[in-house]
Amino acid sequence: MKQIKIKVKNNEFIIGGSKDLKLIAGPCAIESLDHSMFMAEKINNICNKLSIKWIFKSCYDKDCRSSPDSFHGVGITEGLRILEKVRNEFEIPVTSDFSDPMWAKETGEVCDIIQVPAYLCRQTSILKAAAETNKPINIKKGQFMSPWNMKNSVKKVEYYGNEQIILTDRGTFFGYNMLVNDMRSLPIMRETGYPVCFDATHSVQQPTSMGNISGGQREFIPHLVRASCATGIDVLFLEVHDNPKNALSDKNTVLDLKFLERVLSEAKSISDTQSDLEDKYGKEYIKHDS
Amino acid sequence: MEKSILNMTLENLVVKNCMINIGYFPVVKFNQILKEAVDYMDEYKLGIISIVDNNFKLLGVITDGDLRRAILRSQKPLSAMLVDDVIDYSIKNPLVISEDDLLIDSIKLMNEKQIWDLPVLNKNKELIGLLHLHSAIKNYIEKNDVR
Repeated sequence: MKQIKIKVKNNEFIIGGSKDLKLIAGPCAIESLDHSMFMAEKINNICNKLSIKWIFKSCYDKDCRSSPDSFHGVGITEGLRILEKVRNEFEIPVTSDFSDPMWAKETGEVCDIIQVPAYLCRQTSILKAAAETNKPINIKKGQFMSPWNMKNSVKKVEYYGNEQIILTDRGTFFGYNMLVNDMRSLPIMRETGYPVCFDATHSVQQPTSMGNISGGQREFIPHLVRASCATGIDVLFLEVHDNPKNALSDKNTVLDLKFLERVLSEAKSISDTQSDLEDKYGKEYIKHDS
Repeated sequence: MEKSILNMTLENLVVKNCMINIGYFPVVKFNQILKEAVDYMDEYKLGIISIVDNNFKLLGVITDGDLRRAILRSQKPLSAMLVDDVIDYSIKNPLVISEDDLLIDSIKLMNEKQIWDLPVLNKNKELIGLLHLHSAIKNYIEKNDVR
């Protein structure tokens, strides 16, 4: 398993090949400095209590909204300024996606992990720009992609000289306006040798099911979290908001902050059990021919 | 090459005079995907592909038969197999011959093992050619004046 080293001042940890589950969390979109600081503090307190190392995630530009009237984001300059403040204040790593190759360098100067959006996961110009930041890259599996075809995206990033990759599953299209979660995708993507992440909040999305916005079934978040942790993921991804009804992005899928501690407790418990079982019985398990 | 063959007797005809040289048979790097390997095999119209490391050391081979068996054995969708690393489907430590081996011995070996091809290595164990049964037999027939 390839390892990704993350370091912010004295806060240092490894993603991949380590037993502890890591978390990427935050509001889908950066709404304001105050809101980002508030959310970071709340999540940080819960993560400290549960001894979970985490990365603050919030995006400065939402380029894949269903409607031109939807909130598009605070923009790269303001967004990165806010992320940098969060990073410095709480000494936690930060991440954002980017949807224009021109934004990669600037994003990489602030963010500890660069996220490649699912819709753009096979876009060579985006993957090249991400790779050239020399920062770890979290590639989200497109809802239209098979898990094994993500290897092509991995090879593109490697081709451009970057071998710090995380692969994230966020659901797979099942007909129109509907996603399903195939938990097999996690061990399949892990065969690339890179750490894998499960995005439990976008996974419950029903893309553009409500005319000009996406719907979702947030009641399934805890079930998917538990199931994914049992497969042995390295990172859990959750979009969290203190007031989902008024969230400026993905209001139908974000996890209500009031449930975060319980969801993370369950996730950690199952993840630790999975690690203990792996220690007890070894990593080798059933193979097709065995 | 033809001139040197004419000057040799059947008994001392060696592999390097009859083998297919690099560039004329399919070879892939270990970390290429299976789809690329199948493409090369099809392009060169040969039922074997050699898999090498970055220094051209032979790591394994895949034959048409290995592909048949892999397809029958694997329960993966074909699209998932095709994106796997080629090395995952290779036969490691295949039978090989040296460039200086006698052609007749290599033909006997192919007959004994019922195989069509033998990778040819130089003294440094680097892949330098492929002995294919048809070209080997052609040379043998020509030298033996079989009508």
